[in-house]
Amino acid sequence: MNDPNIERKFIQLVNENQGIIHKICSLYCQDEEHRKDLFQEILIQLWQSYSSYRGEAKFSSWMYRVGLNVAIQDFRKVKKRHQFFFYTNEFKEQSDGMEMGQSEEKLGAMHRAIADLNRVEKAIIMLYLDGKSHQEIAEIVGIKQNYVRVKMSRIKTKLSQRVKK
Amino acid sequence: MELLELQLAWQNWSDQDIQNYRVDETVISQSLTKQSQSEIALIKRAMRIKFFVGGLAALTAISLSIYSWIKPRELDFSPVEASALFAVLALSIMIMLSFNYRAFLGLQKVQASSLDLKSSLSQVIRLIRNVMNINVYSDALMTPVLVVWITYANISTRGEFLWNKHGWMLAGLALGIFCFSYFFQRYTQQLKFGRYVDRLQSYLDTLEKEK
Repeated sequence: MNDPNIERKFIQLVNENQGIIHKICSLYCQDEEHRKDLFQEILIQLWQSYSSYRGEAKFSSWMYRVGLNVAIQDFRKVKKRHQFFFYTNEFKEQSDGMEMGQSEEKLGAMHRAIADLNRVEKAIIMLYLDGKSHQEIAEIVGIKQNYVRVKMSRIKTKLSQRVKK
Repeated sequence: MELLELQLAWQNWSDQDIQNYRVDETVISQSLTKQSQSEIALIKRAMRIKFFVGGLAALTAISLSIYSWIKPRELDFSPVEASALFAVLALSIMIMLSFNYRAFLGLQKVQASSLDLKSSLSQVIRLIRNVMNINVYSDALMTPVLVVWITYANISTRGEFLWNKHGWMLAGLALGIFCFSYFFQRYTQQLKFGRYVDRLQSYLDTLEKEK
């Protein structure tokens, strides 16, 4: 791993796909400090496990796998603050310009419901929202495709119940 | 239908978020040289210190074991007793270090891998429980050895070891210290790693209920 060419190529690939890391950090982090720490931790872990990437799967899928593993296994003592993603003004401004069938309040409630999911459920819903197929989700998470459907169904039910509250 | 709208919102938000937080290649390159602060990395760092200290202790014990034969009159014990003491110490330390090293290699392998979420959780839980057990048993085995020999040094007279009432007392002391160390270490290891392992286990349980 000391070869500068390998490092160069790795940095290039990560740079092209860094959006994945930012999405993971937004979903799992509670504040700016935590976000910076998790971002760095994911980069370090990606580099440490780069030798295991053989190119048989898409680089983005590999990044999701490593990044989500780091986020799920991250255990930092952080102060209880609002979930970063769902309480920023940026999101509110973003949603102003969009056409939506539901009121913004209901959508906000759903976002808060996602914030209440456990870390594994967040990973699955994130992959789904990112447009990953059930097969890709199954490969990243390590469960059967049928069970991905079952999990998605349960997550949808959970979200609906929480939104109704 | 709701999830479809959320998907649209998510995609739009993601694009904005990436623009706000995008970093250049210099930042990525600098991050690669930083130290990991993950639980596994912290455990590995503690293990490296253990290897260093344990290795020194084992070498010292081996040296003293040999020294007791070369200069027997320098020590309170007879040459056989002194040599046995230090040899047992050295052997115990080396056995524990070997278990620690195996666990260390296991952690290193997991760090360098890119397993799916379920496999990774399963491996990490197994390895950390392994580390906890090693810490418990190494303390439970080493402490009685040290305490018994120190006690023996204080109560015995020069000469070969004789199995008398002192022998039974020492055996009882060893058993008592072993039990106390075992349960005490189990408690401290549980305090240190228990919550983390339990949390990971709960995540794994949600993935294993494939019904």
